[in-house]
Amino acid sequence: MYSKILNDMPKRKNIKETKVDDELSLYDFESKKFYMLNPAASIIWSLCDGLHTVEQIASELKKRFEDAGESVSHDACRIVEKFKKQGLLE
Amino acid sequence: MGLSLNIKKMKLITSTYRFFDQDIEICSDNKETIELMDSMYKRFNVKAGKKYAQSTRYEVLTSSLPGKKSVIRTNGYCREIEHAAYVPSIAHGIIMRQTLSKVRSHLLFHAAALSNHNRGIIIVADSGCGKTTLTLALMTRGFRFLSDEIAALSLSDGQLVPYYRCLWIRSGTINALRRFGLDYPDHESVRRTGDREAVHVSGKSLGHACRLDYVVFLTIPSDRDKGLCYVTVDRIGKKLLSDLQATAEVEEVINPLSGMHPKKTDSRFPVLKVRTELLYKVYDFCERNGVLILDAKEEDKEHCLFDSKPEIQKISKLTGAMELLRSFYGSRNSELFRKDFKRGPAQLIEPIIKLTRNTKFFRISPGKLNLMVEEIISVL
Repeated sequence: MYSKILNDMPKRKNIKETKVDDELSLYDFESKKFYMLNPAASIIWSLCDGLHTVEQIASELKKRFEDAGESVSHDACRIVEKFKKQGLLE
Repeated sequence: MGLSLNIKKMKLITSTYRFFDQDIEICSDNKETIELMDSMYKRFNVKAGKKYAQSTRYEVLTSSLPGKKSVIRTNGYCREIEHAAYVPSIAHGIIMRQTLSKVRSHLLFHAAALSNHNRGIIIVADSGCGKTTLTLALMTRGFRFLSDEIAALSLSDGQLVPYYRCLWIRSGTINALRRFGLDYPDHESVRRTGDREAVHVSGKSLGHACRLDYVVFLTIPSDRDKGLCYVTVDRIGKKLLSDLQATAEVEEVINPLSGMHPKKTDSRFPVLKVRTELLYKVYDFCERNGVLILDAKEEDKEHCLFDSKPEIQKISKLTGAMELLRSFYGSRNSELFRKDFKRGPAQLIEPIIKLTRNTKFFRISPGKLNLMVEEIISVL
């Protein structure tokens, strides 16, 4: 299930990304909403390209955040679900 | 516009002001209108005839003949006012709202601005949180005054520039300064309205354009009551008032005893009692529906809020930029949106981020005034 979510749902096109240091802001031109992503969520977002699975994203997070706990896969999936719920993914 | 006023027979006074890239010339037969503008914006006066910026002429004309209305007009706009007594305040509101909405050279934020050894600092605060009091308190420690109302960042070079409008000081501000043994900076009082006094700080306290090094957000913690605000609006029909009440969850609509108007009540100027955190809904609704806000007064905040130890913390640049965006002074009618950032407010985040790339952002909770000053100085 985790793999299917990401393979089938890359990020939508009409979203403006603005990077500041290691954080990201997203502006959805359709809903006119802003989203602010912390460093971890920014990495997850950058890998929502339809080519990465949750396991691969969790692996990337573990590489970048040494203190990432065991629940990192679950956290990554939860964040992707949030992106999906907000309509940010195709 | 179809009005048959014979301007040649009236004695007109003219005064010219410059606000960033906008010159305005006000031509009026009403001395009080010019006096109000001159008292509030004396440092913006320019000599007539020397114009380099975009120039707009306003005519503010009153009539003492029965049945004749006063009028405020400019190119493409005309507004009639029934009672001449209201002309100065309404004219001020209309002229400044229109003028500042035309500014394209600077990003304007609803905030205070100061400088300290050529380092600029912007203070953004919730309504009634003590922005003016904090501004004056920092001045007692050598900070120079740039603005109490609008922080302006130049889009061309990112400089924080002055906006030397008068400060409106409430008695609570003076009491707070005295309570903590702080001097009231040298100033000149220019007018008094109700419980507020308009003052200009002395020239020696004025700062100059400088780079923006710090932004401090003074915010009441979300679990604390932010209190109430009383907003006086201009004439508004019953249906629109009802819509506004519903949209902004207005707690009560009362007759005005606003210091901006003659003491008799007038039901054409309703006063809305709203929770401070919902004030933005009132502003948004009024902007969309062309309703002029004549006055907005906050209820004094809980005294205990300012008895505690304040805490200051650094926040990320993105968080800071987003919060600064929220305090942007313009609106959907702003020329910046209509001409330069056509896709809306979101486009502003990029120039804000660019202009604040070397800026440090902080958040401070309210507390004892002297401790707030020390906390701010400690991070500079």
